[in-house]
Amino acid sequence: MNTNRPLDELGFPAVVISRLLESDFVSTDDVQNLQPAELGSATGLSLKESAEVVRLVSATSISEPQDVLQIIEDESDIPHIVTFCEAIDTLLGGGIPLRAITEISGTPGIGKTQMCLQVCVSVQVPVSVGGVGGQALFIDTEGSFTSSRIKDMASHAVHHVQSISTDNPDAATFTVESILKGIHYFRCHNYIEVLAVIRHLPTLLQSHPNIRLVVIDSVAFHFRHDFSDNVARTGLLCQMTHSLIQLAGSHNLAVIVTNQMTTKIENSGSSQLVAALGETWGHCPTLRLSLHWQHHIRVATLIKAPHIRTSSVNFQVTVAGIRDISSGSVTQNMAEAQNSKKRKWTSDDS
Amino acid sequence: MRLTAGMCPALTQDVIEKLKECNIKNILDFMKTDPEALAMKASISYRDLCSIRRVIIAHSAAFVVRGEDLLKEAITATKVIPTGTAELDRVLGGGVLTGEVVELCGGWGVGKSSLCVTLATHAALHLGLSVLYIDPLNSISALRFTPVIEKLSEDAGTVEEALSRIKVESPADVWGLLKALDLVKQPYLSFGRFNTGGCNRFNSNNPSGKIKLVILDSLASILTPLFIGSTKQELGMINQLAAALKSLACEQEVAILVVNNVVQADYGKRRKRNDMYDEWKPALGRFWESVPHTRLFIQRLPNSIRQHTKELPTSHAQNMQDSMTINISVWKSTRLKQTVSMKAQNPEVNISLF
Repeated sequence: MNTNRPLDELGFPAVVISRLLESDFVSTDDVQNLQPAELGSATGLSLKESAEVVRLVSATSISEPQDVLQIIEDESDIPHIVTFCEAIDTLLGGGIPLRAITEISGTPGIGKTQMCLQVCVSVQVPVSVGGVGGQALFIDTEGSFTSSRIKDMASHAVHHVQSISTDNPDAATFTVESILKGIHYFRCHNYIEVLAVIRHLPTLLQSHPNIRLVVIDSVAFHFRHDFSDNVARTGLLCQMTHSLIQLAGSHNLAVIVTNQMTTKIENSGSSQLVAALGETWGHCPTLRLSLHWQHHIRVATLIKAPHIRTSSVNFQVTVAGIRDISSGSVTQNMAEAQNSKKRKWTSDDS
Repeated sequence: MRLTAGMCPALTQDVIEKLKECNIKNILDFMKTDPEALAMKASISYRDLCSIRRVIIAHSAAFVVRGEDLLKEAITATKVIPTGTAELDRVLGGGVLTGEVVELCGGWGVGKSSLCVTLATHAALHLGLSVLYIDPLNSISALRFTPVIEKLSEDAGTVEEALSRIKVESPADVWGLLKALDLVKQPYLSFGRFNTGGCNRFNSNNPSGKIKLVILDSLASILTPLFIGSTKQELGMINQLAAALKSLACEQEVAILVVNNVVQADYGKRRKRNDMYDEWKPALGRFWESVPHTRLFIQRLPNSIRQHTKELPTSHAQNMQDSMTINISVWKSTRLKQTVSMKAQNPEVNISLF
């Protein structure tokens, strides 16, 4: 397909585009069959600039777009990452989806980081057992990554996988050590470092093509405190979302970001706990999962999703990781919760 | 514009060289110079120069069109694209018009994208139109389409054919968006394996498979990254994009549906205008505010926002079946009465009405 497009739609720097327009190069057809040197002498652009113009112009022919049917067929065999909590998996439509950004928000101690660690482990469940069989990348801004917790969850996951498929050769290679090896960890001390890691991701994904999960825990930590200009913050967050979603699409990644809570004052004067980072950020994640307490039971509410309307399920955090609440454990849970609301696994960790 | 050889018989390469010597490089220079003086200076015949002038004037001048003709053309060329939801059609006066830019505003998670998907599916399936879905946030997924498709009563083949008529582009930035919009100008787009010589039942409607409906979901996510720093670059960009969208809608006779965010309005300042304006206003600022022909605002009705009531894990499956009610109101329009509001069922649920 061949098109004639105005040159100012191609994204050249203002200096270059004004030079081109001054010399009456208006559309791609004007530049088409020219050599960089010819263009340079006609416009006064440097050879490097004109070479760039010629390259971009020749690259503008339109390719055939994808259609929805192709996308759906492509995605039909893409697995979801299970969380080991069936209720949450059902809520999310099968687990944490690949090719999408999932936000997990909640008050401190509700289990956001636990959820992230759990998914870091379960993303590595071998394909033959029904998992994704990928690796995880953990971008830690709060310093909340605890490797001993990963070890706990990993050993339980290994035990579970080996018990359901004893004669599977893949299950034998799924060990605590392999899980720990499959988690790549970045500690970022300010938002510049977070943006740098994301900018660096394409290179990293080339050398580690097996990464299927990127976790940012939490996205709010630096972005909430280092900014005086809210517009710039929103702009940066949107840009970050764009690079993440493009990578998620091209590399089949699941992206999980955690978010803090903030108090929103309503017009009537009443207040409400909502996820931080503002209204515009709310559009960025594909799914938003909000975790909160309800009578000493942890509840996960899906507040934004493409497939179903808002609904909630209960879950618990055990030494093994994120799990369903079986009817018997509810009472036990409540008793436990009274003892220590936060970090409750320490009580039954032997 | 440059002077190029072959624009008219008198303008040969030789003449261009001569003009260049007199420092005349483009049409503007040429038209500004007196032909008599130029004829002497460049030693080109006066007759040739006059004929070149005539050709340039005929080539570049705008035609005078009578208003009556414009109206007639608008009436015959404009198509109404029904949305598939009777209530929404009533608010929109029949549906979305070609040549019109409609904006859909709303907060996160209220169902903007779901409505877009429903609209696209309806247009492709029941009207046989080709749809371009520009989707910078990769929100088109099997997860999103499954509930819509499940509600359809048509057989799988027809649905698949319709889905292949919805083209998806995921541009990374505003330049990519402008490039994606160029697809609308393509006279023909092929439909994968359904490309069987173009003999289907929609032939009479839209024989060439040319795009008739463009959905841009969402515009704010593409433009917001430009707001970093104070270069004012975003204002120029908004202007350029607005011009591109409007001329595209007009020239190619397509309907354009743009999704925008809302931001908290300056409390107090807008109170006088309209109740709806009290709390929210469209994002992207005042420069964008005047661009769309029609602006719709989506809100979830308060009663559909779920309270966090006590629930057992087994009960969630039942909750998913519930319908969600959204409220759509007209904020601005060049052709509709404002403050008409409607109550529509959640499009995901309402799809069976098609």
